[in-house]
Amino acid sequence: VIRRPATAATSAALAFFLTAAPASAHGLVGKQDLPIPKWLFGWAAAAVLVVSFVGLAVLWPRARLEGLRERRVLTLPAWVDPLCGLLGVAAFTGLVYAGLAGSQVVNDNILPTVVYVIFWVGIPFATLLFGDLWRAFNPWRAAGRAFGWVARRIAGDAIPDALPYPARLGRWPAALGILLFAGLELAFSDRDDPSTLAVLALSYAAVQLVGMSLYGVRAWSDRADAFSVYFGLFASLSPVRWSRRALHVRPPLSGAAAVPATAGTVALLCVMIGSTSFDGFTSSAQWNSIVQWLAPRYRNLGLNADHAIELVFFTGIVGMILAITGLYLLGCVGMRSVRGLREPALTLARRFAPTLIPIALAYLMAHYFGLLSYQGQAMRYLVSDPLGDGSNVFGTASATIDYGWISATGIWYVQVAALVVGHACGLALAHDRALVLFGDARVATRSQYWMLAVMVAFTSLALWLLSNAD
Amino acid sequence: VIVLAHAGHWAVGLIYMVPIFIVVAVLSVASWRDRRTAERETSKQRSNS
Repeated sequence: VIRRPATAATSAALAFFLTAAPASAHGLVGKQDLPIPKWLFGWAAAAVLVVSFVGLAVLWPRARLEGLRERRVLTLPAWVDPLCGLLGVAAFTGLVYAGLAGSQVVNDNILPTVVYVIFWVGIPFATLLFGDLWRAFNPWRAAGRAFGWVARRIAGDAIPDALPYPARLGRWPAALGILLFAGLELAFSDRDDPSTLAVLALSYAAVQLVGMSLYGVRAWSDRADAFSVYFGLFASLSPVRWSRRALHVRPPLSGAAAVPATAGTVALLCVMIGSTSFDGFTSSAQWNSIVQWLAPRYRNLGLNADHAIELVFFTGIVGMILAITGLYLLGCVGMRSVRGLREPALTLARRFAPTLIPIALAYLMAHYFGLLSYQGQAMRYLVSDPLGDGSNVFGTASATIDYGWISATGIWYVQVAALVVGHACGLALAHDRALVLFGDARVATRSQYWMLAVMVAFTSLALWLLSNAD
Repeated sequence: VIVLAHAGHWAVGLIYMVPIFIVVAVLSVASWRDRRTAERETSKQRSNS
């Protein structure tokens, strides 16, 4: 008798998660009209990767990406960087205000769409094309620099120096931050609640300000601020790089080849790929069966229905991240089969970490392109009525989402193209790094046999996950 | 039991893994042959010296 309400509550929570999560994650997708079965796309993508691998072995005998020089193409006035920072702080303040004071109906408030569509998905897309724009507009970095400037003016030399950032910590805080954000997005039941998001944004900003005050703005932003590091890694793929006073251009991928092998980088990239993969996996029948099997067991531990489901989803995220990490480490262990190579697999994993950057971006593009193309249009009416109180600031409050501008078939082709290109770029980066480490082209190619298998596995996994989405 | 109830879905998903099996099989054979060739060369050099 006691168990019945619990079972009903679990079932209701299950129904909510299993229907709401995919819908909010991927947007609306219509019926695809494909000339061949989806699994055949997976086979074709694998064939393209094998051909790319052979092409790299034959046509890329010397390391080309590392040590390439960038070219300065534009000098910026000194006021541009502070102005961008000021705009970032203003936007952050406005969004937090909208979350706290605006309508708490998810689709009426601008904050959830900005956080999950524009910030999480849109900025990486823009970063690839235009470089690390986030760095200029980052409100925490701007606030930290402003506080530092004011403090120096007032206290002068009395301000103590920043502590040296512990090298051992590396990018681990960023990996933890992205894991927690993934937990919020994919496991937390109140993930869309505007006021909750606003409070979390303020809490995150507070943590960043404390970190910056201890270790310095630059050291903290470059390694520990989860979103700065997240966007910064994607920006390394861009042919454009912004500094505070100039715009530089460089060959594509050369920025990724120069990413330092800092501690925690592999973990961060595996969190990025694993959490996106998990989002795709939640649409599958297999995940449904796992939830139905695991949720009652968590309920038996004394959790209520909501918390049991949240824990199941968080377990899924961690499980997928571990699976992705294991797959990548397998490729690095395989690398050690090359004769004479004595480096431990974990050292190799760290050195080859940049190969995961284009894969992380490819996964993100493939999984969320549909969401960005449809739900991103909601910004047209949300900017006019950010609080959902009926205002019409820019006269676009009555705009609607055009679901016809790209078909579901078109989205599928974009997804497949992103995955194939992303993994081919990953292979190129791995091949180039192997040439640097091993010198001899034959040995370098042989060392990458298992990385090729890993890339094929990543591609097949991604296409299988996408095939479950409709 | 519920996990097994969806065994059909798991089986259909296996079709996506076929390229991985093929690539792993081909690469295993290739590395084995590479290793054998290298060992032969080493033993040849030893016997010559």
